[in-house]
Amino acid sequence: MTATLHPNHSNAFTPLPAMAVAARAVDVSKVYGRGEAEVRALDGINVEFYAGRFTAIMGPSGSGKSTLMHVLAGLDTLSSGNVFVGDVDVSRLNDRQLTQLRRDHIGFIFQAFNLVPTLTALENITLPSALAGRKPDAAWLDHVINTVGLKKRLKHRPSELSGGQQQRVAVARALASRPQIIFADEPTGNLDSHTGAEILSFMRTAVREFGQTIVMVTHDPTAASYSDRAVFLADGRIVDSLDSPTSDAVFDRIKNLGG
Amino acid sequence: MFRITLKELAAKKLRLLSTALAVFLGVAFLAGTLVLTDTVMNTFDGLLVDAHEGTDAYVRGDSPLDLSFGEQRPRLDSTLVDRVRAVDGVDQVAINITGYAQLLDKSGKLVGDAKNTPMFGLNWVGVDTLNPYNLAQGRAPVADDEIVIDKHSAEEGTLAVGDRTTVLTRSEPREFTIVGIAKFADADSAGGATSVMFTDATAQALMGEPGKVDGIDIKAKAGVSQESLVAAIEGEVGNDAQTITGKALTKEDQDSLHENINGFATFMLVFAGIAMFVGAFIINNTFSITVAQRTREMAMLRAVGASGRQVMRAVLAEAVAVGLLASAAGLAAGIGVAMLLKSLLASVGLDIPSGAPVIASSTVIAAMATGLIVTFMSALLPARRASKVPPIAALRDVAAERTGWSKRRTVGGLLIVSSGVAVLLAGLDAAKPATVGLGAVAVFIGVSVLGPVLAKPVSRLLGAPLAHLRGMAGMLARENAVRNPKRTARTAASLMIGVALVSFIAIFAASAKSSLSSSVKEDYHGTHIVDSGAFDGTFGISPRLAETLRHTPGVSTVSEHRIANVEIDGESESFFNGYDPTTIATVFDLGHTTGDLASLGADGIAVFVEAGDKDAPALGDTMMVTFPSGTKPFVVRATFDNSDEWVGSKFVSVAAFDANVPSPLDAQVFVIADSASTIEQVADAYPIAEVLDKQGFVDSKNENIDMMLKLIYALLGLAVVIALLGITNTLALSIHERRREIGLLRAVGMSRSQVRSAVRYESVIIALFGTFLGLAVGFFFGWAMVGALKDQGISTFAVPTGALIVVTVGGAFAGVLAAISPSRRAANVDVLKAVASS
Repeated sequence: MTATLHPNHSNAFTPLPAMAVAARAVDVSKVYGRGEAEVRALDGINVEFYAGRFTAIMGPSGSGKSTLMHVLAGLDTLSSGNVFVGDVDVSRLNDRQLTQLRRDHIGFIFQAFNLVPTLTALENITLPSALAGRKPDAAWLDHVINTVGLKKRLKHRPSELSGGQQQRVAVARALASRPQIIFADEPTGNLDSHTGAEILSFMRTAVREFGQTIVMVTHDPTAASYSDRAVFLADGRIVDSLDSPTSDAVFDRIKNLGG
Repeated sequence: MFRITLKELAAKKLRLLSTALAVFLGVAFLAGTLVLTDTVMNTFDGLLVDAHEGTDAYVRGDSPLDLSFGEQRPRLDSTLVDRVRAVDGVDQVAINITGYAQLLDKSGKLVGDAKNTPMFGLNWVGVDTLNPYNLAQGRAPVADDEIVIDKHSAEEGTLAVGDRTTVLTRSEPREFTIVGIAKFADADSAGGATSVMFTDATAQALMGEPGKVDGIDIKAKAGVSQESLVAAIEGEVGNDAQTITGKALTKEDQDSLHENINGFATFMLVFAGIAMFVGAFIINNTFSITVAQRTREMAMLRAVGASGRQVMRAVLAEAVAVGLLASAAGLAAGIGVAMLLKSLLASVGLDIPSGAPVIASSTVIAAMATGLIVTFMSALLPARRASKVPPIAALRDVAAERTGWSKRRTVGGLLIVSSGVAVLLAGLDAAKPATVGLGAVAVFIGVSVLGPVLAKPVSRLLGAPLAHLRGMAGMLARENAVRNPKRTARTAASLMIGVALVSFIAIFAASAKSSLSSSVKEDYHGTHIVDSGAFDGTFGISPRLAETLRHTPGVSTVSEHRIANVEIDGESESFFNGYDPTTIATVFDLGHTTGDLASLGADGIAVFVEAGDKDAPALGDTMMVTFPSGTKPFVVRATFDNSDEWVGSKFVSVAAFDANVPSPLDAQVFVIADSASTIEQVADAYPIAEVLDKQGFVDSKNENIDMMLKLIYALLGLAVVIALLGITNTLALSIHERRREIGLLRAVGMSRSQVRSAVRYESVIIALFGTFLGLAVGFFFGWAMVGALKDQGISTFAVPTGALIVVTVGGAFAGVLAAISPSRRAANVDVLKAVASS
């Protein structure tokens, strides 16, 4: 199987016409330690994430999938290579610029600790724009809140919400600022399968109907089946990819990766 | 379990450091005061033993009053000297003549400060073994215009042997030649006092009375014991005088000095106590927070078989370890503090001869025990809470401390506050400082119990403008301040104490100032006041000044004021006054008077009678006044109902005063004159006398109040610094607890400076909460104190708005300071570590 997805590389999957690249990694390496203790968490990664698509990054634990997401989102630094969000070279930004990039152009959905416990659901949703000192777009906000079905829970604090509701708030927050790209890190990892399916549907809806770009890290084949494309990582390298994946197909690929 | 404690200690160095610092500072202050006190006492004890070395017996005037060192006793007839000399066993005899003498330097300025240190005028004792002073330079005075002065004064006034300079006494200012400079035993001065020594004749003329001496100093023949010498002298002089042994005299002087030093020590220890009290709050808070944060760990220990008692002991062992280390370090630092305080004392005029610091075993025990007990007691409640963590908590999420509001807490807090208020008011009523202090402590504890109930609404209120003006950072700050009301309240409580005391003192001082100012403006009808600043009879203005003023053109009224310490009907009266009855009503508004002031004469007394007071003395009543020389009946011949805070509640005529108090001086002279310069042309010769108009008088008294204020503020500063450490500590612990949340905020776009701001604002909210609690308590204390002192001249309750605004702004600023390091730590939270899910 072809492993590396390069702009010039011809792939079984043909990108839709005029499909722009929302984020890409170019020869990205992340090395911890030195000499004999050296660990290559990311080892020369080249990958593109297309705008308006839902991409899943898959791989066994220790494969570097979370590290790749952190690097793409400007949460972690690179050892070598470049990362772009849109046209911006993330690897060249300083802390202040990175913060602004995350605030204005990137959305996050984490596995846990997604919400600020002292803020209400609504305050959590509008947090990035409040940090920027901006008023959120009221009509869009309404639309997002209705989509995730949180209308009646807006005044509640996270402690008064169920795990699924908390993740819905997190999804709404990520969508509210209409970021260029949303990174989701095992967003359903702490949820039961039914609630998890609900969250994944919301994410797919956001991609299909709003044209949102989402990159999701997961180890769960079912979660990956909601995506438009799955990218497989092992030992810090991209080893495979799969378009319009089903959970069975994903499961097979993972088995073939040899664990 | 002990190993767990040790590991815990090692792991949480920083948290321990700030806890320990709170104990350390209090103990250092405490130990410093004790070391200083012991050192000074030890030095002076030795000095006094040396000074009285040759004295085997001392004969002096007897007095029904318990007079302390330096107070004027009734004088002895000089014929007694020869009678004593003839007693069997007497080897040598020296006379002592003492009184007031103020040395001036060559430019005519006062040497030394009469308000802080005594001014001794003495005769130079010719018998070397009986003279506590010994010449360091020059010779003894021989001629009438020759003096010897102490070395300390010589240095302070840059005076040398051969200089001519002026000395103020009860008589006219006179010039003298300095012929010698002497040391008091080994020291440069007698405890900072200015000593001027004259020939016997001059001393008698200027300070004593003709034919009288103040004391007779006796050295025994070899082999005669002090006791048998005293017995022999008593046989001769009988009831004409009091005879005591040299040892008793030394002991008396030492005791008198100890009393003064102990007064100072008590004053300082009050502030050390305040610092420890604030420290206790911080220790309690730190342990409470860490116990809450370690709930899971403790539950795990319980789950694997540790008993609740073992968990409690582990926490207490940590407290003991911190207490021990901090107390030991505080004790060591106390020696440094002692040296610092020593220089502070020197700056107010007390000249302390150098001596090695005395570290008494009692100091070591007191410092260690206090530090240990305070730490242990403060950790007791959190430790109990730790012991009650159920093993199942290991499986739950980390339980934050519960919310602050509960009926029990509210009722309990209110009960403690109200009983504290009752005790405090009762203490003020009975003028018992210890009871007042106890009441104040109860009020502080009560308010801090109520704190968690108030924390939420008050912090919300304080945070509202921040959230409005500062956006998300302000809003998060507000929410963080209210999310843990107990923690916020305990942290704020430590600042409350300092703020309460500062604002109390500020209100009290403002009330005193405003009372004085209004009474000067309303009740004083003179144009000027010639003031010595004296508050007792030990120094003052020569009556010659008033005499001269009376004959000065442009001066229409001169009214003298003399003060003595007496007993009236067996009760101590520290401001017993002598006034000129013919002019007192001219310079003061005495209100409604009955009887006749002019008829006071030699045995009449005028008494303040509050309008409507049924139990007040009536005209014709007799009062027994005990002077140092004896008790005499005085008849109430006049009453008045105004200006008592000025003229005192009782006074006699100057003539009656002088008949009973030896060598009187004027504390003040009230004058009506056409201008200040008219008075100054006379008063300039008496630099002890300041010519002040009404405003000038108010200003000069305010200056004294301000000096005291500054000292108290400086001492309270330590309590505030400890409270700041407490805020810093709480924030650091909270941030450690919230690092994931901070990481999330950073991930979704909160900038470092926004994080810093949020922590800073949270700190400001906590600090302001403490400040407002403190202001409220301080207000109450001030109100209660002013109410209690209504009869002592503090008639108006004044609120120093400006000062209280400064306190509030200072409180907010304190919050900013306390947040410097925690906010930096918060801004540097590793985003990745905080948000990484695995």
